[in-house]
Amino acid sequence: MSHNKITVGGQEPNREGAVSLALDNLSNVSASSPSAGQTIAYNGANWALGDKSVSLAVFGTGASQAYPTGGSEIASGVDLHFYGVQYNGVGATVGSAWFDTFTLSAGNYTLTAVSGVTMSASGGIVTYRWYDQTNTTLVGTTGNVGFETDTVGSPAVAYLSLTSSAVLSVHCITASNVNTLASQGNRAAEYGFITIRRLS
Amino acid sequence: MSVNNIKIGTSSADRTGAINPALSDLSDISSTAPSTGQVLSYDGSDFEPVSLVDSNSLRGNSGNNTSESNVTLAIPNAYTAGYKSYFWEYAAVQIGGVARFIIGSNSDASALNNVYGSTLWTCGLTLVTAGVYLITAHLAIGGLSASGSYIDVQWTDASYNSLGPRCRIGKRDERRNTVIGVVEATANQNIGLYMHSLSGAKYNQTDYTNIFINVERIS
Repeated sequence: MSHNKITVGGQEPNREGAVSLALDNLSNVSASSPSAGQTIAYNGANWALGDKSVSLAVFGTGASQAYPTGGSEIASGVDLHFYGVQYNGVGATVGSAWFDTFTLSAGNYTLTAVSGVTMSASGGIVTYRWYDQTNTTLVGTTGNVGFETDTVGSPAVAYLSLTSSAVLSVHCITASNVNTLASQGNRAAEYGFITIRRLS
Repeated sequence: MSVNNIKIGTSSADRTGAINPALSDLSDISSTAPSTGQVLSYDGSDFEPVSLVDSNSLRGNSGNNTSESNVTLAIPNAYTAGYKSYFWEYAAVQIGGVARFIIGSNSDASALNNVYGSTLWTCGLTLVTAGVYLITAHLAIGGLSASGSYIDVQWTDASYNSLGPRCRIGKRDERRNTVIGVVEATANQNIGLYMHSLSGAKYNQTDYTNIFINVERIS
């Protein structure tokens, strides 16, 4: 038998007899078009490409930036704005400066939002929840923020299982004594943040 | 040429013609030696062994009580120099040679301290292993601070580049907030809590059960 009849995983030997075999040439591996950062894991039948088991994003850089003045005043049903992307390890589609929506691909996620919007008087409060705009669904717990800066930190938390990509936002539920957009100042950019964990 | 001349990577056929290639014989596997528990991840050109993601390490928790401090914090910290003069000294690791703040043992990170003779105040972390980290800190200013006192801090690197949002931190028995940061760290990178502003905040040198810092390596 000549070596020219031999193939290994579809790869023929060169004239020195060396076979260059890649991971994807193995019979139980499917890894033909990997992206940087992907790992290989067993899916019950084959070894296949997948994302890391946990990925993370943090939006909110603490920058001193005045709240955007375009759009609707903060009130029930209005999406709250956040500023800056510190780290985007989940592949979210999001603006680099002010944004009030972003898009996540299919997957399972836990989401946390802390808003820093400001009030015009002591006792003022804004409550908020995560909103799946694609599926028009409010999800998770209600966070809130008040007049004093030490009130920035009560989070809205949600778990989302997305079967396809979705546009998400942080929806104002109630608002009392909230500042106008022009008087919001920097607090939302300096103290507000979003964290996203992709679980699978 | 016979079948016995065929090689896959560095593995040749034995005298029966059998070839037993290892993973490292494949053309797109990195030559980096793996460690126990690592997985294969694509780096853009090869699959290379990397550590499992989501590794957690607790960095500090309760310590021994001592007397409260009546010293008010200042920006910058007059007791030290360089970049650490803007990092908040949030706990005393050691006072007069006596251990106070317990630092968890982990190869990923260690405490970044200011040394004053036999007294050590911690003001940040040294991330020993390169990688992406999520830092979550639950802290408090000193118990002798007046009600409503606060310090506004933000995780930054030694050049004061932002690692996340700011956070207002008060006394342990008042409203509690969590300061988060994420850093794509190089090996032995120092980070700390940059002091933006404060009002009446005093050093915290007791009741460290109210301090918790989690260092989580994501990748």
